[in-house]
Amino acid sequence: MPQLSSSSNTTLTVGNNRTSNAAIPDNAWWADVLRFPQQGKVFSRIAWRFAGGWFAIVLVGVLLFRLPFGGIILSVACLGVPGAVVAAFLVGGWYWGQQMRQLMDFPTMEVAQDPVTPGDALQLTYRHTFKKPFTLDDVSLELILREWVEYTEGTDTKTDTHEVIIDTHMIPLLEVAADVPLEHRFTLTLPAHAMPTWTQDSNRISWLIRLKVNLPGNFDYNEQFNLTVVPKG
Amino acid sequence: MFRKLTNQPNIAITIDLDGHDMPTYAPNEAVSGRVSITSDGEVKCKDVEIRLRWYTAGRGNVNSMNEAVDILPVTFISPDSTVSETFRMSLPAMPFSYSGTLIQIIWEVQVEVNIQAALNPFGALDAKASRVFVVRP
Repeated sequence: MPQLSSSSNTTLTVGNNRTSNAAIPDNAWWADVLRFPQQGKVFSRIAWRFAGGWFAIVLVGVLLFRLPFGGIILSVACLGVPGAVVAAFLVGGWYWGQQMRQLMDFPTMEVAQDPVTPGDALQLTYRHTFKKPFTLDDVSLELILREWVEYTEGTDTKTDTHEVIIDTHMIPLLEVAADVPLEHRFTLTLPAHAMPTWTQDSNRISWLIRLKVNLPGNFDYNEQFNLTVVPKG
Repeated sequence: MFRKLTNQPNIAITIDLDGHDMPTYAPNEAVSGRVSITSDGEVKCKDVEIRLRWYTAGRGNVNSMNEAVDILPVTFISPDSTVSETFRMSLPAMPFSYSGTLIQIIWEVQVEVNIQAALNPFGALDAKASRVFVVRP
């Protein structure tokens, strides 16, 4: 998820401009997975957890039971299956990134207020360049309060989230030309008694702006921008 | 028949917050009040702690923080008198009281009488009481 970063004294960029992120090389084959975090991270996280657990179990099984009895071929086959799953998820994430890269650049969002406090009417600017002409069914921007908790159930540690949409802005039916930057200014309002951003080990309250772009004939594109809300005074 | 082996004194703790029937405070405001402790038996204690604290409730594991602690040098509570002390502690800027779907943040003044087991052969236990209040801007 993109983090807030200050671009100047007066304008706060809710930045998603990862093209300038030195940590992600432009030509790396895995870069697109990281650049589209909502999609890529979900792919990667599910893949690694699933395949990692499977791989560990199979490896132990192979070492304990198959190899001592000479089942080399079956052992290799067992190890190959989780390997194939990992490869499939990585290829899927890479393919997704390639598809998105052919359709659009990374969106950016700026908020005029710095810092952001409860009661503020956030003046936001959304910029996005598409690489193909589109008639977008709709673009929605949501101001969301998110509760995140970590809890223990037996010996397992689990997490849960709950989101409340506080304010919404819709951009209906939008024609975008190829390589012409789309710039849209809008306002979302934080409630006067809103809880500021608050983080503890097992309980977190955070604010974010979610962008949903409905691409006709393609996957929808979602992006989230973290917003740090501080108490007044 | 079982014979009662302990003779634990009953300790009653009352917490009054100054000027607040419906205790609501703003961030950074001072919380003041009076603590009264009575007992129906002799109690030798180490001290009495007054804590200004918050804790979370709800789905997640509990997080809590003592934002201020005041230790009263009370070492003896007799059955024929009331220990009464005032306190004053300042709230921090955050967090506010909060009641969401998964998370609640609850503020309280908590008073604990720390009883020394070695000085109380009849096995008096620590006594604790709290008074909940609201913090909002």
